[in-house]
Order: sequence, then C-alpha cells, then structure tokens
Amino acid sequence: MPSRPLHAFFASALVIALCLPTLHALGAQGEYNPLVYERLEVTARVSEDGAVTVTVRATLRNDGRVPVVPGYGKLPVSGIRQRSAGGLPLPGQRRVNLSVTVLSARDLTRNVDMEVVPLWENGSLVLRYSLWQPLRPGQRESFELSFRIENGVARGVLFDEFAFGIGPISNRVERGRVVIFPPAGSRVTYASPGPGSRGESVEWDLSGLPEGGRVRVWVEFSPLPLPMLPIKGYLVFWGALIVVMLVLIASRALRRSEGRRPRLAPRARPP
Amino acid sequence: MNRRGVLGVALLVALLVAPGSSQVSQATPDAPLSVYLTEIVNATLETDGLFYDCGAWNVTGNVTIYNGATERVFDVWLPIWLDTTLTYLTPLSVSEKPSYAYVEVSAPGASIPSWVLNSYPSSGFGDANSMHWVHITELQPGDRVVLTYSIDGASISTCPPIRVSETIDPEKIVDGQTQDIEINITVVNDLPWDVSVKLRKILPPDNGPSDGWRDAAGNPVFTSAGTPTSGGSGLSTDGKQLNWTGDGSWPDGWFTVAANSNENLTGVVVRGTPDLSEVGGSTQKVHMGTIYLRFTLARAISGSRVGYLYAVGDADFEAKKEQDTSTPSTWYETLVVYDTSGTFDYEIVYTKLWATTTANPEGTPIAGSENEQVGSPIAVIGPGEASASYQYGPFSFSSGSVPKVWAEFRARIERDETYGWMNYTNTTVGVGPDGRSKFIVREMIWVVRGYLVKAKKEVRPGPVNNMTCITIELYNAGEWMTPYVEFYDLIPLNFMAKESDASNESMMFFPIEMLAQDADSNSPPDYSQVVTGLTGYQKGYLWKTYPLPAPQMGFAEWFDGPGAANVKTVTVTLADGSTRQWTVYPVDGSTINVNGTNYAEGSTIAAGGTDFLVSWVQNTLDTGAGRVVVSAKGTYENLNMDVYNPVVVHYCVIGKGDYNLTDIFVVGVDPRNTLDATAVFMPSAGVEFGAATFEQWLVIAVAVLVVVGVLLERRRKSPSQ
Repeated sequence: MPSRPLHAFFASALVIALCLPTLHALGAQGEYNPLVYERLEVTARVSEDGAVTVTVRATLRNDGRVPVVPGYGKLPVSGIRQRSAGGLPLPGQRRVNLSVTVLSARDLTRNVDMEVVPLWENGSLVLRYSLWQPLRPGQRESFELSFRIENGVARGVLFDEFAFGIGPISNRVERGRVVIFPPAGSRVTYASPGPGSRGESVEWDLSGLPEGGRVRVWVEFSPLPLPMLPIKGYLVFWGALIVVMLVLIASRALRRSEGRRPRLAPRARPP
Repeated sequence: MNRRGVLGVALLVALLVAPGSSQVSQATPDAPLSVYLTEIVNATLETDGLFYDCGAWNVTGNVTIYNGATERVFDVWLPIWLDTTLTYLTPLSVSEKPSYAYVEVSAPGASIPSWVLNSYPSSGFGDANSMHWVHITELQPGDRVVLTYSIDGASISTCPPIRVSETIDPEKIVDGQTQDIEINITVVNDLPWDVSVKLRKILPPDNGPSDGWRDAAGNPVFTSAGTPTSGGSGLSTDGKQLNWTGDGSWPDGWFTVAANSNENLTGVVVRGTPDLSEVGGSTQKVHMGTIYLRFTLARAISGSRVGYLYAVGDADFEAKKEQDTSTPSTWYETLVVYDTSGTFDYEIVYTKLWATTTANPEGTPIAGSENEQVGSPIAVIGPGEASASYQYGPFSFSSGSVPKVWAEFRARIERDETYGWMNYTNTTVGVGPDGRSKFIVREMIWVVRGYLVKAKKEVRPGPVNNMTCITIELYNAGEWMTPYVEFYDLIPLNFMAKESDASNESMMFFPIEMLAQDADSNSPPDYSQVVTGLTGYQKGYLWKTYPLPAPQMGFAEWFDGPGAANVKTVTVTLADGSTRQWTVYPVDGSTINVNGTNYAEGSTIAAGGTDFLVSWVQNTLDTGAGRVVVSAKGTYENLNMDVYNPVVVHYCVIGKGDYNLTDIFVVGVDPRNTLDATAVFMPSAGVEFGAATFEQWLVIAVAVLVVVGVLLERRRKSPSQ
C-alpha cells in the first residue's frame, strides 16, 4: 500500500480564484468570456461559377485568470437569397440553407487536424469545431478552417453581386481583417463600405471590433475593364445605356414628327 | 536684586496669572494640552465569494489641538508629518479656530523660527524640515483648533490594508429553491500593528420589492452564527443581523486582529429562497447582505504623524546684576526663569546673558559678559514650589562703569501627559447618520435560472503503487433538466489511464445508460472521445451525457468501509422538490443498506413517488473503503428514456511523479449555469451570404429600348400613307 496519506482534492475554480483575493472583479460576463481573438482573418475567394471559398484563420488568447478549455467553437453559416421567378430576380429575400463543404480544418498550434462537425441549430447550419487544448492565462491557440459554399453570389449579366456578413462575433477582436478576392478574369467594380485597401482584392479592417460586433460588406465584380465606382457598376453601365437609348429614341421621335408637318402645296400630278 | 523686564526677541508675555489658584483637573486622563490625530476610513467593497472589487476608498484626517488647561498657551508651533507621495483630495487646512487666533499652515521647507528648529529633538520625532508646520498665535483655555485633510485611498493601496473577504459555498444557488449558504468571513490586517475590529452583517429585509429574494418572513435569515478565531459571534433575535464583536452582541467591544494576520469566522449559514422574477427573471448576481466593518488602531493608516510640539505658557524671568564687594570692577550676571504657569512643566532650551554699557541691548557687549547655552532641554522646571525656577549663572565679567545686564531665554511646554502636552493618534472608520459604519462590503451571490451543473472531482491513491484514482461526479442541482452535458478531464504527462482492465480500475461511467456517446462499444472503457496531441498533457477524455433531470437528485458518497459502523446520513431530493434524509451504509461490495433495507447494485429504491437507482457500489467495499452512487431517475421525453442524476465517472491512472490536478471543464453549456467547474462561453463568429441584383431587368429595359428604337426607325423610313 502506498504510504501517501489519504486526502481528497476538490478541484474547483473557487480554490484557484481564492489565491488572488484582492484583484478587481471582472464584469459578470467577463468571468465567463475570457477568450479574445488576438487575430481573426476571414478570406473569401469567389470562383467563376459563383462558389465562394471562405478561410477563417484565428488566434484565440485566454485573458482570464484560470486555465480554460474552449471545447467547441461555432461558425454559423447562413444565407439569404433573392426571390426570383422564371429566372428573373424579384424584390424580397428568403433564408436558404446553403450547400457547405468543409475543405480543411487544422489546429495550427498543435499542427493537427481539427474536428469539424456540421450541426443544425434552430434550422440553421453551424460548423462546430473542437479546441481541446487547455489554455493557461495568456496562452494562445491558432486554427484555420476552410469551407466552400455553392451559389454564394447573386449572378447578373455582366456584373455579379456578393454580400458577405461576419458576426456577431462572441469575443473581442484585437486585430483582424476581411479580404475578398474576385473571380479570375474579373475585377472589383464596387465595394461598400469603403475598403481599407484595394487592388486585386479588397480588404476591411476588423481590429478593435467589440464583443457582439458585426461587419457587413458588399462587393461587385465584372469582367469589364471598369475602375472601382462609387455606385454599383450595373446601375452605372446599364443606366448609361438606357439614357443613351432614350436620348436617341427621343431625338429620332422629334425628327419624325418634324417630317410630318403639313406640305406647303399639293404637288400637281403630271398628265 | 534688580528686576528688569526685558523682552528682547522673546515672545513670552510676562503676565502673572494668579499663581496660587488651584488648577481644574482635566476631565480625562489626557494631557492639559492635547493633540489628537484621527484618521477616518470610508470604503465600499463588493465581493461574490470569488472576486473582490475594492472600488474607491478614502481617508479623512482630523488634527485637533485642544487646550484643556485653565491658562492660555501661546506661539504654538505644531509639526505634522504627511506622506506627500499620496494623492490628497483636500490638502491640510484649518477647518475650525477661535476668532482671536491666527493660524497659518506652512508646507515642508518653509521658514520657521530658528529657536523652534534648533531645539527640535534629533531623533524619535522625525525631521523638522520635512514637517508641515502649523502656527497658532494663541489658544485660550477650553478652545481648540481643528485641521483636516483627505487622501485618495487608492494612492495608499488598491485595497484598504484592513478589509474583509468572504467565501460562500455554494457560489451559485437556484432560483426558487430554499438553500443553505455557508459563509466564511475573514478580516485581513495587512498593517504591521494590531487592530481592534468589530463587524456586523445585515441581510436584505424580508419583503424587499426588488431585491431578488422571495417576499416571505425570515427570507433570507441567518441560521448559524459560526465560530470565530477571535472574539465572539452572535445573531440578532430576528436572525437578520450577524455580529462579530468581543462577545457576539452589538455593539459590545472589539476583538483583536494581530499585525499582518487574519482572523476568521467560519460556518456562518444563511438560509434563503431567491426569486429572480423580482429582478427581471434571468440568471444574475443578487445582493446577499452587507458587512459594516469598524476598526480602530492607535496609528494613522496613511502614516501621518504629529512631531514635537513647541508651545509656551506663562513664565517670568529676571536678569540679576551684582557687584563684587571686594573688586568693584567685577560684576556678576544671573538669569532666573520662573514657571509661573499653574499647570505646565517647561523645558528650557536656550538661555543667554550679556551686558552692555549703554541702555541698548543691541549695543556692543562688554567683553566676557556674553554667555549662552542651548540644550534640548537644558533644564525642566515645573509649576509650584521647589522646581519652579531655573538659574543660569552667575557669570562674572569686568566693567569700569555700571553695566546693563540683559537676558534672553526660550522655553517650551514639556511633553508630558500630566504637566505638558501629549499627542494621541488613532484610525477609525466613518459612521453614517444611520449609525452604520461607512466601511462596507456588499456581498453578491449568483442566482441561476434553470439548470445548475455541479461538478466535483476527487483524487485518491489507488490500490497499487504509482496508481492514482479519479472520481468525477456530475450533479444537476437546478430546477430544470439540463441539455446534453459534456465534461472533459485531462491526464497529466507521464500518466496513463487504465481504460480497460480486468481489475476494478477501468474507466467506468455510472449509470452507463447515461453515456450518450460511447467511443468503444465495450464497457469498460466508458468514454465518448479521447483527445491526443495535446501540449503539456498526456490525453484528454470527453464524456457526453444525456440530459440530467431536476429537481430530483441522488448522492455519491465515500464510505470508510462496510458495516453499520460506517453509516452516514445523506440528503436526497424527490421529483416534487422535497428532500428526504436517509441513513445509508455499505453492506459489501455490491449491496447497500438504506433506512434498514438492503438493496443490491442495479436495483431501484422507491421513495415518495421517485425512483432511485443504485448505480454503483464500489467492489472495494467488500473489505475496505469505497464509493456508493445512488442516482435519482427522471424521464427525457424527446427520446422516451430514463435519465439519472447524478452521474459518475471513475478511472485510475498509472504513472510516476506528482499528479498535477486540473479542473473539470464543462463544455457546450451556458457557463453561468455551472458550479465548481471551469466553463466559458463558446467562441462564435458566424458568416452570412446574401446579395441581390436587378441587372437582368436593366438588360431587358435596354433590349426593349433597342426594339422600340428599331421600330421607330422603321416607321420613320416607311412611306407615308
């Protein structure tokens, strides 16, 4: 028999917290939400067929006083689609279940694959990934999750519209960004709100986003060699054409009505 | 004897005040000229048994100099040392003075008279140049001057050096349920001196409309006053007030907390039924009483000190001149100082004698006639007869003509409790108009709506060397059924869990039907998932359980061995929320006795309409100690199955070295509804796709316009009718 004396341990957060009796209290919510996104990068690459490949790369840090295990992280994926009839778009939207394919999930800190399970919660799809590594106070963990959705873009004729929302994010974001790449052969003709940087891709800054924050961006692509415009390209392009057509038709109509003015005298018919 | 009333630079007024008049004895044992330095602490702290918020606290200082004698004092120089590194909300300033007195406060380094500085004691009373000096011209009998200052406590320390901390168990209680909460109160003294303390804790009143406690008599109420390590504790007759004083009554006297130590009051019990509907209905912290702390110590908490006072009272002196009878050119000079005060002893600190040929004391002194001495003190003289005078000299000098002898001296009132001045220093707390202390600690407790997942992890040595056995108990102590619960435990490095073993040390889950996901169809081992590749840990095990029912709840108890001698009384909760007390003991490794009847492992105990399953009787109870688990049964209607509360996992690990205990992590549930485990909100960041375009309609519009244009063109070109 071991000579160790019998003892009973009661592991509890109470014991750990009692070692620090004079620290200031966190807010009630802060006690249970000690994780912070030290870095959150969301990249969306749009393909020519309208599919979107999203890559989320994040580093979570434990800003609390005791070790925590995130356990599960959640990435709800939802879609809103425009109403249509006979292939023509109609006003109004409806929620749709998107077709999602998980491409890869990796725990970058431990360099192992991360388990991702698609779940249905309240009729919506949630990608639930697992983070089982305990994080000591101040410790961080990085992971990357990549998935593709089909038909993520509202297809037009010469212009495609892409609206992308991130959030609400349950934890504060220290540094982060959203980057959107247009399909090959297309360029960005419109982006709202004004992106932080533009070039082949457009980028917005997520740094400082508070708990519960959300960001919604709208991007338009087109194969036409147009610069980025302050208004949606399809409105500008087709609107300009319509105006030109209307001017032409109006001028033609005016000319036609001039040609119908009464003759000065009937012409005598030759005998 | 010639008497010359010479004033010189002395500020003494040579007035005789009826020297023989009897002196009124002081009303208190305090000195006739008393200086009181009192610091008053106000603070409001908040605690929930886990965290502590000190908030803003402040110290107000009062310095009072009071003339309790029956004669005037003059030229008072009062030195006060203040810690100038602190933040002063209000600086040292006069708040009260008699109309006739001029009072001036100078900062350290200001110019003060040399006779005050030069006579300042060299040790024991600080450095005269670092003092704030307060000069008061005159203080008549019965009058006083009061100065005040206030300090931002945060500049002294984040939390007051004397404070109260509490632990409460459980830290979370369930809405609508009557529960006993055990409180331990600790008075912390971080100062290097003993402090006298008393405190009382007052619970919210019975029928507060929005305090989070059900409106009922005696809710909440103290049911036990606990046991203190110093002083005594007691309750008020209505159970709403707990006193920790000298003997447990209020206000009684003080108990002492020694320097740099704590005193504890353990085992205080509050019984209460919370009602969240009074405060909005959702899980939140609710106020569970306020502690009003009083303390006193004979020091200033900010370190302020009174230095060595300089003040003068009534005195008289004479400068005597005598001619030598045999040598007429030799003269003698003498100074005599008389204590004409009826009360005070004087310390003579400076005397000087000199002679001039002219009637001008500032004229050239006659050679050899200058004599002076300085001392701290030179001599002490007292009121009354024998020691009432001091003589300096006689000193001789030569003068051809009749000299004029001059004298000068300085004397201050002695520091003496009976015949002089004394300072009294203390620190205490502010008291509000309601008579309650202004040093308060508000205590909060979590009140949880719904389920409350309580996890308990016990570690004991295993039956063989290098084996450690872990038992995790998961209870639902709430009022509603939990969702699916997942709990996660870690195996430290260099240890291996015995998942499946012919012995009893395999990883086992009781009752097994509650394991919602079983990674291995064999039983044992019983776990939902194993996690590898962790940094700093060997492995992690995850158990996923079906929902735990509520309010019915069984028990999981450790028994030291089989037989009635090891009987224990346990409390179980039935499905209707009522509780029962059972007497339980293990009969052997597969049978227990409950209230006189034997039940085998796996059998059911029916009690008051609720069934209890004997989930586990540890085999070691055949001959030794072990655990018994009896789980209350409920129904999970979604799957039409029986569910149990509590559930237990037991496994053992083999390895060398210290077993580093880790917390139990509960994942996937609202962390506010967990107790004694670590749980956090799941990080969540969603994405949403959805755009709209109406380009097709614009294309159609363009197409229509093209058609219209073409048609118009055709009509324009066609011959007219």
